[in-house]
Amino acid sequence: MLLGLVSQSLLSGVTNGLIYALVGFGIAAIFRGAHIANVMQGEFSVVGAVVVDVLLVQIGMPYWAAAIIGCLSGAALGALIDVVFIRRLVAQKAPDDSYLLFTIGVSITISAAVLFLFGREGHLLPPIGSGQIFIVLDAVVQEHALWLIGISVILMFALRYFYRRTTLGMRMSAAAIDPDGAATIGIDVRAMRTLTFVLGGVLGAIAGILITPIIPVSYMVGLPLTLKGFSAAILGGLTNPLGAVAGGLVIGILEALVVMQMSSAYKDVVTFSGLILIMIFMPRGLLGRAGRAGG
Amino acid sequence: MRRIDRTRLVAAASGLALLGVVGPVAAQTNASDPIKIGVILPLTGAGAGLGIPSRNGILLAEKQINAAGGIKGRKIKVVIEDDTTNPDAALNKANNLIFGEKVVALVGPIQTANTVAVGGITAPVKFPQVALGGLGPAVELERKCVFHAAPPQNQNARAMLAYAKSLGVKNAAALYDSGYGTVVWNQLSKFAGEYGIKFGVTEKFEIAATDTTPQAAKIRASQPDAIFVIGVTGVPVRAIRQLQMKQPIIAAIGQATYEIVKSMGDAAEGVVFPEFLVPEDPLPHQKAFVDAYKAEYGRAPKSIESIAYDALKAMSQAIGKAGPEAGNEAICAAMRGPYSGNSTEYDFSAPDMTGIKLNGFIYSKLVGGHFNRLPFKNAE
Amino acid sequence: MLQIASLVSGYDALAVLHDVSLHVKESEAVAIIGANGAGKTSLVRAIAGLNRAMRGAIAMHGADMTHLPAHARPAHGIASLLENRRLFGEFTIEENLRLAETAGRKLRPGRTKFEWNDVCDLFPIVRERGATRVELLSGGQQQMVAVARCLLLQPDLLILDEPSTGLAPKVVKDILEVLGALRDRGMAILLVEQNVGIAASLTERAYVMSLGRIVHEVAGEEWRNFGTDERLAKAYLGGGREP
Repeated sequence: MLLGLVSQSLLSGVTNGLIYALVGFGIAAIFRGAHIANVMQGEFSVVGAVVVDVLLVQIGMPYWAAAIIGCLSGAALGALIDVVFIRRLVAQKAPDDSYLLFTIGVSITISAAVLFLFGREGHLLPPIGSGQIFIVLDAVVQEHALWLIGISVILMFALRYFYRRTTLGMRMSAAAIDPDGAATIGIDVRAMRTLTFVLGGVLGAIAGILITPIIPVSYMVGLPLTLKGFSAAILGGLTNPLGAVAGGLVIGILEALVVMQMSSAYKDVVTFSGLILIMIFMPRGLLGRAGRAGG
Repeated sequence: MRRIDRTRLVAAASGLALLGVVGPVAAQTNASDPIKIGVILPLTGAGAGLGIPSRNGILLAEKQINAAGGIKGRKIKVVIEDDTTNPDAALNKANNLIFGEKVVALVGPIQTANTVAVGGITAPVKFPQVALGGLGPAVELERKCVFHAAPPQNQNARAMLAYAKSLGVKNAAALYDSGYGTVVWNQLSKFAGEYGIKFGVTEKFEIAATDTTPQAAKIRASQPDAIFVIGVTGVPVRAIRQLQMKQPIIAAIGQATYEIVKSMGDAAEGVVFPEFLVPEDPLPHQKAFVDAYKAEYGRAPKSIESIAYDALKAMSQAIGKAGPEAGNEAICAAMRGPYSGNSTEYDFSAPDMTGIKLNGFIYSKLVGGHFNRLPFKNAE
Repeated sequence: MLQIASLVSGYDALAVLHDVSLHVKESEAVAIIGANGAGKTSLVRAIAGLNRAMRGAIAMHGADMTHLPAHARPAHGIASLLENRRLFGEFTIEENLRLAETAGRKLRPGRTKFEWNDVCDLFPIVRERGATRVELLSGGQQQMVAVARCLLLQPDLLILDEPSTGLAPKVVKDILEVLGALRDRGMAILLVEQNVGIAASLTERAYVMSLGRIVHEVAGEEWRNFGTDERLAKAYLGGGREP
């Protein structure tokens, strides 16, 4: 039975870790493309999940259509935030803390809006696939968990490829690294930033749709999700999608092992002590880079 | 000169005399002002699942009391505050209600920590308070004006253990939260032996945890006969069933609401609760409440609503008995005694400030998302 | 080709350039000199589109650019090399260059295009260390890469803001050689420089700036001798604080 316990704990750790990473993707994207710490990232997930839930339950749309519209709503929300608010902050040359305050404020506003429009109840989305259960190494594996793991890994590679190999991805990064330099070689910095927020919104919505069959979504869930995503992203070096996965897995597995070996009471203490230690010895994160200069 | 002086003296004296009469009356309420009763509930935060139904029960009770003429011809008015499931906030609201709004009694809070915090200011001045959670730590035993409308955790524990024993359970596991779950667990471990039950693997989780799979995995590995679950969300029950554990789940009353049951999804099937009200099949004396609640809110009430309803009605009755202006101690004394509630028979003079007996519990089992009343009943 | 008329420009609400007028003809190499704080960098930023034009006009090939956003200006044929080079440090040399290449414009007829190979020939470092991250290069190497990147925008006019700053004399000489070769190939150059000797060796004409205004224009023999002329001292006396 010990094998079952270990494998179940590891599976739980990997699944949770990738949930952290999914939110971390959006945080990494927005930081990479706009140098903004996006505290409302979790709310993008909540909005995406709630939209899909409403479309499925109240309108009876097929799942794939609802999922697409859910992602579009994330994209629209991201674009709205950038065009209406962030542009103004940039034009006024707002200091860094203004952005942080702003995203905190918007996160609270969105959370309140969800409460107002959709009520207090938690909503569970149906799992992807047929809801099968597999027994692997004496651990119970849900089909949805496999989808989550698979899609997370695909997203990770896709994002990495996008930012390192495609012109658009490189332009989005360049626009944040040096806005003036980017403008002088023909990059529309403002448009790149809007696209960054659109990407962040879509990633958030995807995360919400994948997470919500496991964790019921409600107006309260946004901020804890954001914090988890941040931990994963920072641990992984903040702008690297590969890092978000590495960071998320480290946190998730560490948590599961602590619960398995010690007691649940020590979960947070051990996990965050571990995080602090890693950040002390590797301040740029697990996969952060050695140097960051503008040339 | 002397005449003016005397007139002034008489005027001043009359004024003072008038103040002496009118003063204390003005400081209290006008005879036609409503009697204010404070209510502290978790309307937001993790406890909202209990707070909001409780509010519904209280508002229904208020409506019925006023429709029947109120207390001695005066209407009652409940002043409801949200403690956001936080003890500091509860303390804050209590201060506002007692010293600001000048309520004559307090209903709530629900959470143990919040109740103990508020009791810290009501107990010393013997302010009458009826909490909606069960008796908590030992200090509450001394607080002879803090009553409880929900069973103490030792009774909850015994009720769960008695049912488990009836199933023939010998080895059990427990999955409980870091809040009232821990308090109930302490009682479960204390009395388990009396029912011939031994607890093996027992795991704790954070109140608002969204995932309890690792803890459930450890329980699964121990292969118990039954699993006791104490929390305020559907998360632990889901975790247990997702790991394909088929053992019976005995859950504490805190999870017996339609909302929480809905969030359990399919995992809810077969879970048993010791509680007080099954609206699909109410005890004869409960039917009136169930019908009134359905008429008012368009849906069925559960134990939580009923307990809150009983709390306000009991306290109003005590205020009526002592008189609204009688002061703290008198209202307290009037509260101390038996009360036939909609939920169950109380005796607020009992040492545990509740007086619910084990045979005052009914048991329900979830079948297809609906509560079914089980024939099982305790002896004593 | 480049026409600036009565330009008033600056940062936010503060005007730093006052009534600046200048022009650069096809294939001309023109310098802008002046002390620190004279407004030279502000002028470059205004032409590039990074600072707002409050009054006046900027036109390239007769097309009005005055209120065009910065990223739309390379399409009119200017390439701006700002102070501190502004490369993307975490990208490689190749990646930095490719980003400019894809932003490239349609060439005007008669112009020879700077192909990738042309750039590699002029700047061997692109071939030698193309996969190296730019932040790992020396200042001089980064400057070369910055110039190369500008070329891939297929400009008619190359605008450089103090390209020699912080570089060793040998490195400066190499850069001047490259710029000279470009000038000989017909590239128009607008060079902003504090070092008059460097400016005079590369350009045929100069504007002298002081306190945000053009105070003098020099050309020909006069300009070539400017290094020893005392009018230089006069121009430098008017220097204020760089915005």
